[in-house]
Amino acid sequence: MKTKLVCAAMACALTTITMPNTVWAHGLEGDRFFPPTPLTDDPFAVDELSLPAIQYNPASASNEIDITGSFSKEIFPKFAVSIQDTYVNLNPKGGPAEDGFGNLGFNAKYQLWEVPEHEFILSIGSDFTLGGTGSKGIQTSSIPYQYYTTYTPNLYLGKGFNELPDSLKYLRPLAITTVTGYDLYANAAQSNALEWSGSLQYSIPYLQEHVEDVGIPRPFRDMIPLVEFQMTTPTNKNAVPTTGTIDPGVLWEGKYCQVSAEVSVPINSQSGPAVGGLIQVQVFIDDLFPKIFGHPIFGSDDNDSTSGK
Amino acid sequence: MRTLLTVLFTLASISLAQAHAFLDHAEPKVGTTVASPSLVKVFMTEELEAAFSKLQVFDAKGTEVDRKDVQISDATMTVSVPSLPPGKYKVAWSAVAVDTHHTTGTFTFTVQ
Repeated sequence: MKTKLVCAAMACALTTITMPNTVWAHGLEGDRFFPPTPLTDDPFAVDELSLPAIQYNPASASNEIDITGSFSKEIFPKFAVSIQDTYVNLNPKGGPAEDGFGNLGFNAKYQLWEVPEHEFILSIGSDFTLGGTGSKGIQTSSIPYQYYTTYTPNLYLGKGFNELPDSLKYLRPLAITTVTGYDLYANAAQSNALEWSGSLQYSIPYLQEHVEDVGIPRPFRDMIPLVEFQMTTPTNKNAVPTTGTIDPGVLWEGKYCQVSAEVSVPINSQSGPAVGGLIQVQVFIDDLFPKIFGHPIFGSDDNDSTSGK
Repeated sequence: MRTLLTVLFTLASISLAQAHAFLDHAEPKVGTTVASPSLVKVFMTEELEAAFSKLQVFDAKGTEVDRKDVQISDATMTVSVPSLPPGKYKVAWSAVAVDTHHTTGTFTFTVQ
């Protein structure tokens, strides 16, 4: 399974790298394209297909591999819902291997405030993880099976650095995205937690297309180096300290998909014993199937229409 | 899973669909300093719908200085400009690809 999915990701990269041009899909605010990143949900309520995201932590006690798929669909203009699940493979040292699907997750998101000239977007939304819908075989000593449902109201932010002065023009390709959420568990015994993640991106395509054509050739001109972080801070008394990872990596933007690779560095011993990694393939379904995807089911989205522009 | 991936990648490889049109490169080049050009050209990544795409050039005061004679051919937009005095100029493009996806963008060049 693992080998097949890695091969599929490679096939996607090879398929798109042989195409003559590279363009992007959705997630646009002014001149800025905010790509979907592996750990920080982007602030856009649009059609997206992540298939798959593979996360590997080789030195964890359970030697865990997670393979996540998610699909997002814009229902009304600027409002989208998504569904997500993760296939978990555990290979603990000295113990039997286990695998199965995790609890089913849903998300609803709305683009609340956009200022294209400032490359700014603010969105609100919520995650819902349905307790008891996953396989019981994949619980670990550190991550017990969750019979209870989790609600996580989220605030999403995206901002480009386009307003920097000419003396700092080579920093204009920088952008940040953040997601701040609060886990509310249906189980009162469980500690609630603040979830905070973000990305700092340097877009080489933005440099080439909007700041200065410095002649960077493909495939490098289609890359976005970035650093992400993903943290969890329990808020109840006597809870464990903040855990999380810092994840440097790079995105490569193809015509119909994006491939991301990041290294996951735990911030403390409670976050994991060693460095892991993740790979994600994001399919731009609105470009693959423009008659089906890329616009809301109800109403009209000005961003993808010839009308009103 | 494998069947779904195979279908997706096969469809991608035979290029049934178009994609969003973005800037590939331009003349004058993005962010460069040049002598006054007679034409401004943008080379996009996708074929354009001429009826819905446009190209404009503005001076530092925001006044449009091009001759409003945009020519669109396949993925290229061209507009002529009079002799431009030294200064910074902004190029604004609005592109609708043949699959109707709409994109916009800006960049500047400087006339010495």
